[in-house]
Parts: sequence; C-alpha cells; structure tokens
Amino acid sequence: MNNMFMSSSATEIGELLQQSYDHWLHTNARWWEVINYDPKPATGCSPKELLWSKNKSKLYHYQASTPRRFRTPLLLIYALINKPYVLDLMPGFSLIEYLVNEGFDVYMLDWGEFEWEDRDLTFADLVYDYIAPSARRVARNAYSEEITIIGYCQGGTMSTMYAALFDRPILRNLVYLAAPIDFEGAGTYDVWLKAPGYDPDRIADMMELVPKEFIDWGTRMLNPLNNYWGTYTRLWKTIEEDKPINFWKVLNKWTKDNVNFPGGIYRDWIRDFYQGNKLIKNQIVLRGRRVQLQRIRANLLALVGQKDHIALPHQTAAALTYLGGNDKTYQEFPVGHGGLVLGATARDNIFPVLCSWLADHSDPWENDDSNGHNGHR
Amino acid sequence: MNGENGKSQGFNIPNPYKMWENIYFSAEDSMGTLMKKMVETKDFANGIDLILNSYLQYLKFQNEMASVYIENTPLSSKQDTARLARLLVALENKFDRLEDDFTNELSAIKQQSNDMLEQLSEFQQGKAEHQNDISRQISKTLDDLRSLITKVDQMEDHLKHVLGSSPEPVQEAVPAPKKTRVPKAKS
Repeated sequence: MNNMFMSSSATEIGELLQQSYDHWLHTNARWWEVINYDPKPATGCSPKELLWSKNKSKLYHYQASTPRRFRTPLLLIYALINKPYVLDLMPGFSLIEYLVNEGFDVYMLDWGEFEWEDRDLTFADLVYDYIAPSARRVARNAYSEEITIIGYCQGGTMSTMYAALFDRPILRNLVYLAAPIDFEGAGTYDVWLKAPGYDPDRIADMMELVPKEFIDWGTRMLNPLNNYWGTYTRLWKTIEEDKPINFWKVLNKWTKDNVNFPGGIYRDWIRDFYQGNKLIKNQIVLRGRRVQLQRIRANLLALVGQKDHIALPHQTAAALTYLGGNDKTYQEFPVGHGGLVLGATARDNIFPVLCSWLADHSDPWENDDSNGHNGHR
Repeated sequence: MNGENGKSQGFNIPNPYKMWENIYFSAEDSMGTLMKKMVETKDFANGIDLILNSYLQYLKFQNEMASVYIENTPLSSKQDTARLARLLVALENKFDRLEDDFTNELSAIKQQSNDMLEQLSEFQQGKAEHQNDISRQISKTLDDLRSLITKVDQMEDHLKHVLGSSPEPVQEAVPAPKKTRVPKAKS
C-alpha cells in the first residue's frame, strides 16, 4: 500500500481509499480475534520423559531419533521467572530441539509453579535439594562422570552457586545465557531496588508467596509502554503487513505465563544479590558453606545480548574475572534478553555458536555396549 | 474532473490510513522512550515504593484480620493445607535420600565386587604362574635325575668292564642273602 496516491484519478483514489479502509477493517477484526479468541499455541513440543520429580519440579530427559554424538550430558537450568518452555518454544525455534538434533544428551530442570507451601524456600534449598540431585541423576542416567550445565538468566546464577559447592559429578562446562553474576550497575533495577523505601524483608514477610502479578509487573515496567501496549500494536502491524503471527502468539503466551516467587528466595535475591552484590564478594553462604567463585574450574562460555536490559552485558562478563578455570569464552550478540533463545537470530547465529563450543568441549560418543547404550536415546 | 477517467487532472493526496499508521507508531516510539526514561528516575522509584508500602500495610491488616477469623472457624486454612504439603515434600526428601543412599551403596557394592574380581583374577593368574614354576622345577629335577641315572649306568658299565678285564676274581665280600619262605597266598 503506497503512502501517497500519486497523480491518480478521483475514481482510482476512491477505489484505493476503499481498499485501504477494507484492509484496515480486516486488520482490526483479525487483531481483535487473535487477542481474544485464538487458542493458545502449543509449546514445549520436543519429546521427553520424566526422569525425576520432587515437589513441583521435574527433571526431563529429551528423546531423540538421531544418533548421539557426544557423551557429556547437558543439564539446562532455567530461572524462576516465567516458564522454561522458552527453551523449547516451538519446532524450528527451540534451543532444546537444536541441541538434541546436534547429538547432545539433553536434560532440563523445570521448577514448576510454586505455591503457598513453598513460600519459605531459599536458594540453599534449590541448590542442595533440587539442582544437586538433578545433576547426580543426569550423570548417572548418562553413564558419565562429567556434565555440562547451561544456566539461563537467574538459572545461571543458581548454577554458579551449585558449581562452587559441589565437586561430583564433575562440572566440565558451565554455559551462561544472559546470567547475571555481578549485580553492581544493574540498570533500572539498580535504581528501583536500592531506593531507600524498598525493603525486600518487608515484602517477603507480608506477601510470603510473592504473587506472579507482582513479578510480572516488575519485569514489564522496565519498558512499560513497549511491554504493556507495544506488544499488541506489534501484532497489529504484523497482521497489517500480512506476516505470520504464530511466533507472536507463542511469545505472548510465554511472557504472560508467570509463576509465583517464594518469599524466602525473593528476599535472598534482592537483599544478597542486587543490594549486597554478595556473589562476587564470596559472601554467599548456603547451609554453612561459602560460595567461592574461584573454586569453579569448569570451562566457561558466556553468551550475552548487547540490548539486554534485564541482565546487562557487564553483569555476565564479570564471570570472566571472578570464576576460576582457564578456558573462558565470552560473546555478545545484537539481541535483547530473550533474543538469546528466541527468534531467527538465536536459531541462525547463536545456537550454532553454542553447539560448536559445546562440541569442542564435550567427549565424543563411542558406541560401548558395556554401558547398555547403543547411541540412540 | 476533466478528460478520460479524470486522469488528465491528477490528485496528489496522502493515503490517510498509512499516514495515521506512521504518525501513530512514531508517537508510540517517542512515548515509549519517554516512559522508559521516566521509570528510570529515583522519583519514580520513590513514588512506587510509597504505593507499595501502603499496599503492604493494607495486606498486613488484611492478613491479621483473616487469620483471626479463620482461627475461629472449623475450616482448614491454607496454612493447614501448606503444612500437609510440606509433610509430603519432607517425605519425598526422605525417599530421595534413601534412593541416593541405596544407589551409593549399590555403586559401592559394585565397585567392591569389581575390585574382588580383579584381585581374584590376579590371584588366579599368580597361581597359574606358580604352578608353571613348580612344573618347571619338577621337569628340571627329573632331567637331573635322568642324567644322574645315566651317569650311574655309565659308571656301572665302566665298573663291569674294569672288573671283567681283571686277572683274579674278586672274592665275595658280602654274605649271600638268606633264603626266605614266601607264604602262600590264601585262596
């Protein structure tokens, strides 16, 4: 549709105006329909089996029809905000699907939806009672003494605490996807969470289980107009330009699919990490054991988005300074927080980089019948 | 409008829909940037905290009132349900620990069995080697014995030869053996 009706006759202009009007009406009608009536798209479609479950959390093992190429298993640990199916969004746009097809043995820890009885959970509980048993089970199931952990956002921070505290199974590789390690200069969060009137203890005590709406509000208000209204105008524009809207629907479903936050973890997260920046100071103590970042000797890959406004690039880059180990790789991509795992840029540029690095840092799979495995999972 | 289909007199007007769209999205971008800058200010953070703390005060009052009311009703509260759920989670923890202990024990037994098998195989290998040594020693002794017998035979032959060529026969120095009666075997 042209911007200007250049030197056309009145009849043609009338027809074009009518066409534009019809198209505009159609766009509005379809827009309204998608927002209000379209069914939610299917997500998390990669075939998987439940390996272990505890409370609401589940450890999944992804199945593949392709032969396995690498012995070292991958354990994906997601954040506590929104749901982990963003890592397996839809066929063709799924990090897990990509990794599985490349021949990796992939596992993912899904935290589930926290409820009232989980309100006192702390990071110590998550690290000791959920991540550590998951890592043991992954190693056992894969017949491997070594594992790789991929931590997304807050999942990366939790993986760091695990890596500093546990020696077995051996953590060969640690991969960060937009994972904050240094909490100094955390952008807008720095202003909000360090304001004199902001008291995480009070919030945790009063709310106990911090409702998902509150967490969602905190994330969306970082860019309010864009997140609250812009998402719908983007849909309108996509429909108006006759582009496929399936990806928008999937993304919209995920961004609205929040979970409650245990008050104990909220208190730790804000007070010890954002306000105290205790992780890089080695001041985090979980069940009497100090989290010392220099103890982490695993190979490190840190992937960050240049436009990330939730975990800023320097927050992840700090891992290069504070973690032990000699093999450290850092790479930035021109994407935002979710862009590392969402969309065509992730699929075409970021996943191949991740896979290539993992392939270089994993043991190749050798058919060994003594393990009872034949290469297929 | 004059001429064929009015084309002789051209109009040059903008598409109002497109114009609206451009204006709208430009305005949205500007507003978005403005709002983003606004929420990054300390004033905004302080204002929000004021609202938040007021809400928390209200929540505290509401929770206290609700707990007083619930304590006096014969219905189970969400605290009761949570307590039950926690018991279940604790039970799960115990099962997990048992499973871990069992797996560790099993691994330890497997390891010990492997070690024992290795030791046994080493012992058997050692035993076989020992047997070989003994066989070798017996063979050597037998060989020595054979060579000794051969030498004795040679010496005997030589002695016979020497005695045979002697001019005077040598008297028997050893007395003749007594004749003994061999008892008949009972039929």
